[in-house]
Amino acid sequence: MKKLHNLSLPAEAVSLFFFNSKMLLMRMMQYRFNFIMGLLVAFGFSALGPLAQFMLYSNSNGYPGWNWDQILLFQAVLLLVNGLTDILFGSVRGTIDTLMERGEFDRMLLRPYPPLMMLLTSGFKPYGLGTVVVGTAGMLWSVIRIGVPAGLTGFVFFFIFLLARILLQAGVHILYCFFTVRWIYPMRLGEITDKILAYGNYPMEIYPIVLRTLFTTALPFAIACYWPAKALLGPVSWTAFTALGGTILFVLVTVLLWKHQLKSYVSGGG
Amino acid sequence: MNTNYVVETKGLGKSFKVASRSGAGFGAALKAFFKPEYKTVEAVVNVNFKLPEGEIRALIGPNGAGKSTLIKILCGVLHPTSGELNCLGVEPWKERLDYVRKIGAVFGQKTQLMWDLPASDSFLLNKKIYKISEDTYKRSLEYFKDKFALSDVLERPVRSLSLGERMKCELVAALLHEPALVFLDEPTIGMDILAKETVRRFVHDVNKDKKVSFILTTHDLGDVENLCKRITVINSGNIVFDKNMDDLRFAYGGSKLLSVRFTQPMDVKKIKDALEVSEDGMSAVWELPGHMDSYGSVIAKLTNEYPVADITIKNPEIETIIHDLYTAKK
Repeated sequence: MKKLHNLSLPAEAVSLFFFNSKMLLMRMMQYRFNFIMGLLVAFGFSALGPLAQFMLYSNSNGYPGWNWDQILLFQAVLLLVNGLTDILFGSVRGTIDTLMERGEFDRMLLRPYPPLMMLLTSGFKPYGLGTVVVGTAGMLWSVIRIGVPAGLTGFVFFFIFLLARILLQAGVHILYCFFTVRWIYPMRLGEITDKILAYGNYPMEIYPIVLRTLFTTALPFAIACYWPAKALLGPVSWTAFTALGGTILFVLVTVLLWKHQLKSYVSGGG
Repeated sequence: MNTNYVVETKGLGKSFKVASRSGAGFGAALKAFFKPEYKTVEAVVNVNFKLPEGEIRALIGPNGAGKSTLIKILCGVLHPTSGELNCLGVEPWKERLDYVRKIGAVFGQKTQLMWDLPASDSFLLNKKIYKISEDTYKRSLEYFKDKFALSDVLERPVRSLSLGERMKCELVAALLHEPALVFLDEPTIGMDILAKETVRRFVHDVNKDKKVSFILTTHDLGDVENLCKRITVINSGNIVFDKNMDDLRFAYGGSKLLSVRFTQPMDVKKIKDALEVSEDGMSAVWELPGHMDSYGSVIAKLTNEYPVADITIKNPEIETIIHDLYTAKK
């Protein structure tokens, strides 16, 4: 019975995510002006992003081994994955910060679901939608211009690496939650993880071989944007799957850390 | 542990390792930074506690007595470091996910309602999370709406509700999934007397109608007097009293106050052994032992000696009794 319950958890998590997202939208719509302005700014900012990239790369040498169309594809994929991870997990940090600061994390433990699931399914942030739209449009435009040399397999690998990227982001947020519950005030941890993750925003070719190996194994940031874009541009090498394995391992480690931390959780006073 | 009780604990204990710093100031902070020191705090010590089905039990104690830690253990939020525990047939912290479906919790100073939305939307979230069937949800909601005149309240954003209205919604949110056991932590804190009465009636009626067991922690002894027959007092992590309210009055009641109003002004000097006499000589108060078999002889003596218009015997204030209990040495 318990095993059946566990098996149904992923489906329940998806359902709960949509329900929580609907609730968040309802809450945001209570403040009309703020909501509309937020959406407009998010769309405007996302639309200006590719323009800024165009100006940057048209006046520079770009990335070694990447032509202009490929760079545009890379940037579009980057926008798409950033938008998607923002939509899915954009509010997780704010939620855990608030719960710990107010001493309300106990509330998560009084819900009939694993607290990690409750946290990750309350991560919806609608402002990432603009980034997703612009990223998707840019990607389609690039694909139409240069095609998909790897064909259908390219798309399949693209989606696999995209899912892995989302999984990597989940792992990063689990790690953040772990440190927040452990330290209450993780100070600039969010900033630090963002900075580290930003290494995945560039083609691996720009890094020396040592870092490239590190980013495709123990710290699998290559999965962030490089391999999804590469999958569309041609056959992927075996190192891509090392990054995939590294991602799964990374997430498993963060889940174990979280579970360990939860066992020693002492709650607030009063 | 096999038990017929909703909650039963045997020798339950919980200790914490907490950071400890010797002295104040930057030097002490620096020393603690490089060489942190810890001490072990025994928050709950050898607690034996039983709650029969359908009872409203008061769990009271001074600040820092261990009430919250005990409640958190009983809720499954914390695990005990020693002893045995059985709540609704399970060990809460081991089978937390299944256990929390059967309990409800209201923390007076913290809300589970979404501030920006009407309470009815928060109820929908609970319906989803607790997998409440449509029939049960409708039935429960109708019961609460009818019983506690909630129709208007449920459709307004929570932020615009009064404290009393919000607390009623908190209670509904905690009860919608029909839990067998509900933890109430300071449910009437900050409320005016009317709102308190409403919340107390709410708890009383739900207990009577739905046979829900409640564990009530509060500093408002009015809640205890109005709702609970039995009281458990915890101090320094130990249970120091666990009996009926009448037993509490008997054991810690001390003396009673007998007030007499006279038919005419009395000469103050002629009133014997009184605790106090009014300036106009129209009334006096005597202190009597708390455990006399009968007060009839005392009353007869007074009516013989003085022109008595009215007599009142007052029990000691519950606050006084609890104060004595809190300050009594173990």
